[in-house]
Amino acid sequence: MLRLLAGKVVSVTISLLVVSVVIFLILDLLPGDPAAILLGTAAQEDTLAALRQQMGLDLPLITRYLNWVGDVLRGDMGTSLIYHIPVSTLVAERFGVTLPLTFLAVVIAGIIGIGSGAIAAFYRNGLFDRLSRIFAHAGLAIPGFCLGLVLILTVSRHFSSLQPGGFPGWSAGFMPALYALLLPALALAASLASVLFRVSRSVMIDVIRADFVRTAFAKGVSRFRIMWRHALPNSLHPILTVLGLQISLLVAGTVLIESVFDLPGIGQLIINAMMQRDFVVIRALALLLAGGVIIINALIELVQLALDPRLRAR
Amino acid sequence: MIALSRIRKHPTLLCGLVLTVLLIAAALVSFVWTPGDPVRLRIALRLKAPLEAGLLGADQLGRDMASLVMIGARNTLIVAWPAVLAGACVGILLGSFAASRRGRVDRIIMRVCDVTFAFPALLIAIMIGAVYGGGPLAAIWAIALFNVPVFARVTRGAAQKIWAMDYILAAKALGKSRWAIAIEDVLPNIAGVIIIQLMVQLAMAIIMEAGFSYVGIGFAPPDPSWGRMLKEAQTYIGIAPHLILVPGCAIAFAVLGLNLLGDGLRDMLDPAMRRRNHKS
Repeated sequence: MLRLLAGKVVSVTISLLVVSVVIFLILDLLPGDPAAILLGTAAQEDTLAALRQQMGLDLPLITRYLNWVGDVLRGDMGTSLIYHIPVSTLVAERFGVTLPLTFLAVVIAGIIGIGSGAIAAFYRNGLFDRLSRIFAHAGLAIPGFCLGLVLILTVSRHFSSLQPGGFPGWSAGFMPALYALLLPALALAASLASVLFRVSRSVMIDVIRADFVRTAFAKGVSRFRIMWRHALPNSLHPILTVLGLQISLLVAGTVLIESVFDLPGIGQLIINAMMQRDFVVIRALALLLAGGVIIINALIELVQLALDPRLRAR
Repeated sequence: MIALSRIRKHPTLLCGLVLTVLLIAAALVSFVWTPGDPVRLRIALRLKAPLEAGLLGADQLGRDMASLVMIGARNTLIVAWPAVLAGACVGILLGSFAASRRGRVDRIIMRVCDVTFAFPALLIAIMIGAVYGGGPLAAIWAIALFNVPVFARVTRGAAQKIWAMDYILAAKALGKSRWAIAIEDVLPNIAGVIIIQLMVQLAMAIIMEAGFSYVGIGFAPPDPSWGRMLKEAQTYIGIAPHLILVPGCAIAFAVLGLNLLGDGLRDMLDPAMRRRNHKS
């Protein structure tokens, strides 16, 4: 187990390094002088040179990359070119919105998706199964941000506590903040729930046919207990694999949903940074988000190992 | 004719086919004809509901929504098609290569694919958009890059099974080169899987394009795009819900059509899946 863990840490580190190189190259090597872009065409040559020096653009490529990575490792992600605030401060504020939102969405999607997948598998071709399959098709076809708009249009008109737009902050109390995140999380969860429904349904159908489940049925174990104690644990591995594949789509979805509901999270920050060409912020956020996807996927693999002794033995 | 009767046995496939043909037809027809003038501003008709002004109503500037949706379909496909195709070509090449080599080459290619897959497409689009400005090319690049690892994985997975077959061994024994085997023997046998994936990814590309244009990456005004129509409609959400529902439905039906087409083709082409599907 310890060797597996060490191997995982090494491969994640390599992936993170590759990701950092790719981000650095996309943003630094492409044509266009960030200093010139920031100051506009009317800038004087000496102002440009001064800014370039300030931004470290006069240093060789390798030095710039190493400086950046070194700074990031020490927890310094640079200073925003627009706000003149350290990126880490900007990010810390915003993660308080983005992380709970994403977490809430995954929890909602997990409960609805896996739960309905299990029920549909146990009562295959029944009414519930048919209906939830139609819902899953719809959930996959409607993009999250689009669903968010529809939710604003329908739900929040009738429930005053679910008024869309903005975020009161966690300081305003737990419930108001949670209410502000509920609709966006629902919109975000829909497509993930549909994917999880499809996987868990098809996996559970296979598991239910396995001999040990038939034995359990024969012994007179209740359906719920079979589902909870036998079918679910044995279906978790493929469900987690699919969840891992969905993480990068979830990140993109979060960025869009924050924009729809006007939530001051990472998504808004990165979109504003794109509009204002704040390369320092984009670079830092790109590393955080892509790195986050890699780390979460590695964690999911570890959870799978922890859950299944057969994999560890290999 | 045989194909037609086979299609009729698969209602999923038929629905998907109809919706997809509608999407493509709307996009193609928009080149020569639209029900109204998509750029003419008719302030008197602004925010008019469907059937009060044109089939699908008028937008916040009084432009004909039906025409905008048709041209939006065209612009979506202009981004989605080349992006998915380009990503598929590179991905299929990488996947075939990895499957034919195995060992270290295989591991390195798949590692690179894993890392690429860590980048959400929107993130790539934002990075390219920040440097180049967010035109349609930024969207195409981002979607294409996102698709490379997807197709590489699918191709490799399917191709590896074929490479283990006896007739490949026979081809090798006859002295056929790796590339000849990969192209002549392996690719035709995995074409079905790839075509199905193509439909799924195309559907996803339409969702992505809508998302990109919602945040301002893609076709610039006055060129309509579904995502930006939604963005602009948000201001009028209380007074003119059709501004949200019309492009929203356009996206949903386009994606649904391609998804159903993919599902239906899978049922029809893949006998193993057909057996699985008997369970469903």
